[in-house]
Amino acid sequence: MATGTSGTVAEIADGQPLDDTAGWWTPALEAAARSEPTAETGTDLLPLHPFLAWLAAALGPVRLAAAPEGPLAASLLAAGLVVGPDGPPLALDDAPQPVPVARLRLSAGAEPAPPDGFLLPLQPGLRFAAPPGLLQGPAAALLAAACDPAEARRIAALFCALGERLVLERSLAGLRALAKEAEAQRRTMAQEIDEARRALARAEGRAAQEAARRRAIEDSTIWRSGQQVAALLNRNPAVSRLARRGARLAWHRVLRPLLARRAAAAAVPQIGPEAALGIAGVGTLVFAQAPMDTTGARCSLVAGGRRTEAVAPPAAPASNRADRPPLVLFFPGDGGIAPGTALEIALPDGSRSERPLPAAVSLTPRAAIAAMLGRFAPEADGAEALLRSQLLPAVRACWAAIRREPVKVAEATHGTPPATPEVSIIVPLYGRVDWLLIQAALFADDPDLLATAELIYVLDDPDRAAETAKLAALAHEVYGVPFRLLTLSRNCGYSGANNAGARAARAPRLLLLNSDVLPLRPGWLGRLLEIHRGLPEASALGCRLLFDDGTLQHAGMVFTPFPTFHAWLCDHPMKGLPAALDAEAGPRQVPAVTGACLLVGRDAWQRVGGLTEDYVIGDFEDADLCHKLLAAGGEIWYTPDVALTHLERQSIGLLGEPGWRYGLTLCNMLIHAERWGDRLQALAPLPVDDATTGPDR
Amino acid sequence: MTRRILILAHAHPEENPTGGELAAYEVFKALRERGWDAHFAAPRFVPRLVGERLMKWEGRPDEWELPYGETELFLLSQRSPLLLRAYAELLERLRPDVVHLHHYIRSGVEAIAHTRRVLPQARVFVTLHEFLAICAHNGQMLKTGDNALCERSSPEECAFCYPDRTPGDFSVRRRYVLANLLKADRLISPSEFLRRRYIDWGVPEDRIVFIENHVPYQAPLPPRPLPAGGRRNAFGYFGSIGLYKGVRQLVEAFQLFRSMPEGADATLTFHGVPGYLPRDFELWLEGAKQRGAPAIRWTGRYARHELPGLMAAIDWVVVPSIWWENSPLVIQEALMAARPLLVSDIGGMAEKVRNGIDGFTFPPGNLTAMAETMAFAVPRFDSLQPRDMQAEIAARLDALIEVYTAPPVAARAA
Repeated sequence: MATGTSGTVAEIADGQPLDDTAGWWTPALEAAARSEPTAETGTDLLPLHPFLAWLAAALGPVRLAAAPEGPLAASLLAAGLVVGPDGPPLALDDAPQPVPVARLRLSAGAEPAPPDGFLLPLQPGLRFAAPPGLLQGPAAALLAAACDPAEARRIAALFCALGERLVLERSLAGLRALAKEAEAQRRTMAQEIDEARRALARAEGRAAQEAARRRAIEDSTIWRSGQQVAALLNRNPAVSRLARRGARLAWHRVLRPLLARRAAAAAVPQIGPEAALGIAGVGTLVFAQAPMDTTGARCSLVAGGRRTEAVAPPAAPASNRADRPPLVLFFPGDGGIAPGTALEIALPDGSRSERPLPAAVSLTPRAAIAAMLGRFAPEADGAEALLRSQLLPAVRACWAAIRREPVKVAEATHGTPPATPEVSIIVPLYGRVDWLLIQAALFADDPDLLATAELIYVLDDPDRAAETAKLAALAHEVYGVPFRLLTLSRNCGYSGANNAGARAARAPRLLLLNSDVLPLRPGWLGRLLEIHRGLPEASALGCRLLFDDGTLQHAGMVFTPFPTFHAWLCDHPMKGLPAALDAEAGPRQVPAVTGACLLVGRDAWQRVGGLTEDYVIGDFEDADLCHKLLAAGGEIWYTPDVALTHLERQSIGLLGEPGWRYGLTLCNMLIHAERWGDRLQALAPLPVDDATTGPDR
Repeated sequence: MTRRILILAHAHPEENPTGGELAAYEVFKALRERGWDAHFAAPRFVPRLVGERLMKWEGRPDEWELPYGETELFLLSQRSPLLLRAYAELLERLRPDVVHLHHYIRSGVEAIAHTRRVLPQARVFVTLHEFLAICAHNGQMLKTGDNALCERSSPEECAFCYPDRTPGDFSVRRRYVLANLLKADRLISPSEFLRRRYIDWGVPEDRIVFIENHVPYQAPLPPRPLPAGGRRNAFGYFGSIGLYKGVRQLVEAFQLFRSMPEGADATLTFHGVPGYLPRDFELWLEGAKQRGAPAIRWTGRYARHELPGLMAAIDWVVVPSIWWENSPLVIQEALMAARPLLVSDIGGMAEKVRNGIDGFTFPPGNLTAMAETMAFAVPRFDSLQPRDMQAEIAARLDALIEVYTAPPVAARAA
């Protein structure tokens, strides 16, 4: 509100000025507000600004445009007659609809009546504009007040009483609202109680069901016998420990390796039942469903007029079952698969079918070996034919591609090896390189060995070069054993690593030694050399190898026919038996000896070309070396006089190798049979069989 | 001619004042008093300047600190060349006639071979302080899991305790550690019990000798003055509050004993601080400290010079360990202070404390038997006679010097 002329004042009560500006609350008014109510005024609200009291009484709560200040405003706020600008909404029950403040104003000077109100002359020059409908009653009284101060005092008292009544009514309304709210709450709580009662009933029902089920379990035979077992375990700590050990053993020796193998299998690229593997620099391997009998079919890949024929006709599925195994075909080439390549199958009856090639997968040769052998089922019908005709050529081609990568050999010499060693000991390292430290500690106690032998470690695991270099330095520093350490730039397999070591060897004899073969006492090497000197020039000599518990790990090797393939396994007779059962004293000739500890002359080794590297990754090469030496006029000897420990990792092999590894062993077994079938047949004849399915010679 | 000896311990007792370190240091001091040119070295975990390897221990002329190293704890193998190089430097500088290793967990078993390599003429001895070489479970010979006493190690048996390792791993461990231990002239065992265990494990009998740890002699204490009508029922425990020390069993047995007539006014005082403890043991310990008061008291850390005063205030020393123990220092200290002992009747404890002569024994962890042993012991205090420890200790040191100077056993290798 604003007044146009500053001197304009309305004389209403006791000559107190009615000043529209903020400073109207005077000390006199304050004193009046604090005075005792009189019979005349009836209420202490009188000193309150009667104009505001009127407004409040007549219009209901008034929202002020600015935050009210001062004790009067505080009491009005407390009474709910006025509301600050940020106050609660004006919506109490039973309250009259508030009139917007904007429509009430005091204005100075002559001004036309607003269209929605009236103009009341309060003082000359000051007019009050009131909304319609307010002229009767309060507005009229105000009019009177404007003329007579005594009347104004009376009217103000009435207004104040009216104000009080309104306050009471509003309190009542508030109480009613509270009562309503309480009633609502009571209803809600009642509902909640009902709900809780129902939930309780449900829970009790469930508990009864559980109890019944538990009783049923406890009455069951399995539970009772389980309780008996538990009681037995509780009574007897030894049995209990045994049971816990059993469980731990099962976990660590069976379940965990199984899970690890699953994880390893998951790491091998998985290919669907139909796939075309493009192997860089090797060729294409196709797995495809063929609904017809493909015996004798000629299969080719056709792309833009170019035709590549499969390495061999498909291995005929041996049955007419509906779930015919997929056709597996290997096409040598560069491994690229052009878009639109088709698989053409020409049957012997002249009919011809062309099928689109399945989705192509590109693999490195290493990954391809695992992927294709991972799908090979060695127990299936026709497994040997499939392996021989398609998979083996593909695996060999992959291996050849791997071996085409050049190898660099780095050499570090620790200490001073003997100038003219009598024997070079070649130890390949792969995976566990700390065996170097252990062998060094044990060789250090053998002055005879240190004087006659040159030690050559060959690290076939380039990822561990730094670790090995550190261990090698430590091993030499502590034990003083001199040795040479060759590091190959890529994994070359068992044959490759030994051949690299042999090329670096300077002694006239070579001792192939595994890193997990440990001497039992000094002097063993001298005895081996002594026996070897008495043998024909191109001879190999092996010795007794024991597990750590003293049972036999190796007492010569023999060949036994593989039950389902036309091939032979290398067998370790007496493996796991007490050494005393290998009673025959003195050196004797055997069909072959293991490469874990094999002494051979270097000239003979070079004549036969060392270990054959055809075997994929590694297996059978020690047997192969024995065959080659025999063919070169040597003999294969085994001596029980010298015994070493061979700590063949005892957990591996408990459950067999992962699938593709087993397939690989079968591949190498076929390669071995292919190379040495005549000698093997003479040593251990295969069962007589249809010649057409026999091994290729 | 003055003979020179280097004693290599796994830590300096000023850093870690427990049995093994103290035993090493006391020999060093005793030999120095007997006119030897004795030197003491130990790895120390302190920040080092680059290139700084070998240092005098806080400027002392005959004590040395080595770099801390890096031990691979399965093969007990040193993997840091730093420690071995500093050690070689020390050997070359001192050129001792005798090198005596106490423990090898910080230096690695390679330190023995390294001594041989650097000083082929020196005599090398190793004192064994527990079953570390035999048992991968902190050398305690307790089964993992339930801490049951283990009688025997073998690759198969050990793989049961550590199923993630194969028996082959344990074979290698045995072969490697044994080969390295046997590069010493003699192994020294502070108890006959431990000696037998190492012989069962593969050490030839003539390569391991029993000599009790040296301790500085202290005169016996008079018995605790008793109030009128008082009984000999003040018990004391000394040493770290460890997991295998049987503290929990002792507290529970003592509560049982308190309900017996002999134990009505008995007290049990624990001197020592907790070592590394599992959480549930820590919680139990907190609770036990509240519940046991005032009959059970916990005084916390004590300095060695305070020990006579603490022992003077009690009648019996209890050693209730639930592992074998080798030669607990507290037994020597109690014997010197003329305080009879109550100990578990296994391993080194049963050997050092003769039942009915030096004290009484009970089966480890058997609460009833422990309480009954306490009740049985109280009225028999006066029947036990103190041992003449002065002569015994002097004889030990003589025996040790005799071993140092004896001709080497024929073969060093296995």
